[in-house]
Amino acid sequence: MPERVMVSGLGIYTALGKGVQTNHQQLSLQLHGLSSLDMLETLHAKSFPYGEIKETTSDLIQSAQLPSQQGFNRTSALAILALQEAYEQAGLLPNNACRTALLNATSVGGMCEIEKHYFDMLNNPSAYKYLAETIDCADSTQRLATAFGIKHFLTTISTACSSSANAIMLGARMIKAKQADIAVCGGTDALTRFTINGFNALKNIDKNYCSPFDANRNGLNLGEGAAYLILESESRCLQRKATPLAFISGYDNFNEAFHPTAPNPAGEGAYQVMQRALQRANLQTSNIDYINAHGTATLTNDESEGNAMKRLFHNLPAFSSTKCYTGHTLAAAGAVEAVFSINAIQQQCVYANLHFKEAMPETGLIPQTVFEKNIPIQHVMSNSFAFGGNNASLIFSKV
Amino acid sequence: MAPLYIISSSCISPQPSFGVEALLNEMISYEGNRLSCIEPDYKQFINPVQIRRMSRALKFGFSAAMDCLQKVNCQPEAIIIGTGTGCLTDTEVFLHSIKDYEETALNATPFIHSTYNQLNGMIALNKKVNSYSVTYVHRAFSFEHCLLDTALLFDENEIETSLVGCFDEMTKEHFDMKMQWGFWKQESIQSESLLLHNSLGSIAGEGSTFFMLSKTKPETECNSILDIATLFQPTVFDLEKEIQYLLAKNNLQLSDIDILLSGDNGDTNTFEANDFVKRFCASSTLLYFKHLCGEYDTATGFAVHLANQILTEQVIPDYLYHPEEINKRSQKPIRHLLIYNNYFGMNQTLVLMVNY
Amino acid sequence: MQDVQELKQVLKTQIIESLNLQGMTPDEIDDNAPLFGEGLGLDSIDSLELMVLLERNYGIKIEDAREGRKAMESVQAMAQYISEHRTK
Repeated sequence: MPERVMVSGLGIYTALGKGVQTNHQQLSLQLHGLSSLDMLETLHAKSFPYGEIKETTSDLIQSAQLPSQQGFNRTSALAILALQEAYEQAGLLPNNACRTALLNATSVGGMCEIEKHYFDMLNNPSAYKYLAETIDCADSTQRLATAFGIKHFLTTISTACSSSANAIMLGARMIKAKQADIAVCGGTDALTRFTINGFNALKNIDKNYCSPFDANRNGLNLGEGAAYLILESESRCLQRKATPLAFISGYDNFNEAFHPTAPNPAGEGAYQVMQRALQRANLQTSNIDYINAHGTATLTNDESEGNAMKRLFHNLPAFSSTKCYTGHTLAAAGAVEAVFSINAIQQQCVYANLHFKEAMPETGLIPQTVFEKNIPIQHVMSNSFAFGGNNASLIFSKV
Repeated sequence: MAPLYIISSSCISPQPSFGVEALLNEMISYEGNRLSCIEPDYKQFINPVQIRRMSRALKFGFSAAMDCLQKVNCQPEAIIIGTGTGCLTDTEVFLHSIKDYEETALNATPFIHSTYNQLNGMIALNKKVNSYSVTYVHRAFSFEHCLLDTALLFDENEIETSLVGCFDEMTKEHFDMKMQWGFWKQESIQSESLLLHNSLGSIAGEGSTFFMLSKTKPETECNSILDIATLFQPTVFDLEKEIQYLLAKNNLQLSDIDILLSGDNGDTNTFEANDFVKRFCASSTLLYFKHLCGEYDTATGFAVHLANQILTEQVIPDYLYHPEEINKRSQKPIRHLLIYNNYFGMNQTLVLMVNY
Repeated sequence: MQDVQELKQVLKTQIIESLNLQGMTPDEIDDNAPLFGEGLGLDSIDSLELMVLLERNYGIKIEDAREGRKAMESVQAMAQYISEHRTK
């Protein structure tokens, strides 16, 4: 029997604010962080609500207090700020002697800065040499590694909207296999014109606040953010007297191979991945007390996920999507929602699904619509589904 | 780690490596510092409805994967792909269309294809593979981490077979920018003479390689990947320690390494590390591969394909030696081979392979 | 103003071009055959591209995906929709 994989630190930065406590507070007050754009120039700045962090990129970089700011972009700055919190909570110092694995996720990496200068870069690349290293997904990971002195292992995962859920899964596997003492897992994505226009071309952004699982839902809202989890074995946690916040009891990654961008409306892939995660956790559906759903509020996701939950759970526990607070933070979403799921365990609460009015006719399911506390939460499931049928499901449990 | 037995391998590269199992007798030398893939007739791998929307990288990546799967008669239980830049053409097309059409009426296809896990999804969809699927996008660790993930899945008793591959393309726009940023040699060279040019930068390349890997040793003669290490900005001391550790873990001596396949890309900035590994493995026959495929994030995929052929055929074509060391030809049997890749100093990796 | 017959012919060429239907000629597309599923066999990503075609060439912006699907049932339906809604 392998040791349990404990979560000993959390860090988060979303449109709800900086820090685990602030995020929980806003969620418990049922206050979302969506608004039109102030920090990013695009034709669509006022057309849709976004989960934008109201700090300029240079202020973010400033507050990260880096020795050198050369080439830092929004994606990396958000990541560093979130990871600083996670290190602090876990009682870890940068440049420590642990064999640390950094498993980072991003969907567009340095695009936030590249897209601003791309055409000037083509005409005069030499003026933009400072951006040369930031053009891909590995850049933010390598900057995190350098800032926190991580050398043992570092990688970047990009499976669209399930990226950081997969990073957490890999972290748990590496800890179990004793390939690392500490696994730092999570993801970061800044809002970009690139993704806004991409999702707009797919015609699945709602002009209004998104309403997950509602009959009249009309698409998602995009957001930005970063979130990280510190994972380690139970014995290491005990040994260094760290306080575990939860443990990872189950996980799975499953490709449903149905369509390039859309899920199977019947929810076959979502069903499979949730079931397999439960099996791995050795839990019954009745053990799950809360599901933090993927719940993007697109027509197809919510129908598919709803059908899958309905089929798998005879008595569906409380479920909600928290994307109506933060927007869909893409590659960071899995980690952002993992933090919320662990908060639900810590605070013994469930978060409310905002803007829900009417159940989807396909499922008739009603999500949790009010914040509730003082309820026993032992096991929480967190779903992340993505383009290309790339589904992931994680289960966090009370220590 | 569990050995990864190579069941099949397919490689699309600037060399005529696709559709032939044997090592090439000769190499193609290119002028102009940018090596492009020799593209096969895609129609045999991709149906007409799909092909019309696919850009180059997806086409050659998908074809390499399909060819690799056709050679074996089984479904993979995982699809794990590495890419540094994904479908670069699609990313560029979408950036241009955002500007050209001023953020209105944009085609979604290039955006969809710019997501890094597109090829995973496409292969899964086509072959109806419901399985574990991940895309690693960490520059010159991308491919190596696919191998490590597979080894972990084998160790966890999760799966028996895995389709592992990589793809990266070079576009003119990207090449031109990186030229100005000093990634490529400023003087135009013949690729076959890459290692004779003592100057900064390398030559650009691209390609896609796929492997079907198995947990179980096949009954026929075969090769396997024994171990992998990925090092972030290592010092020469770190490198030495890692090679020693890799050998010790696998009960090997330095003298057991018959071939060192070096990813020296001709950039004088990385001379120190390349020279160190070369001298450290002085008892091994020294071969090179970047003059064949050019430099790109997942060039190690090409190297593993080549190494697999060398191990199987027990032959070393002349073009793999340094042009000035051709007289050091080796006739010894080849059992262990070590690939050392150095991507502009920041990502350095080791892949240890063996012939049974 | 183009008549509908002429419009259908132009539309077929535009569809072939925008969807990159290699090797297909306008004559091979039946006016009334369904564009999606059976018939021409287009999928949901094609429907997005056809909406782009309508917007770029005829100034028609379809906001609702369901309405779009209906307007693009066949070449005949598309031509009809265009002649009723075009702004250029």
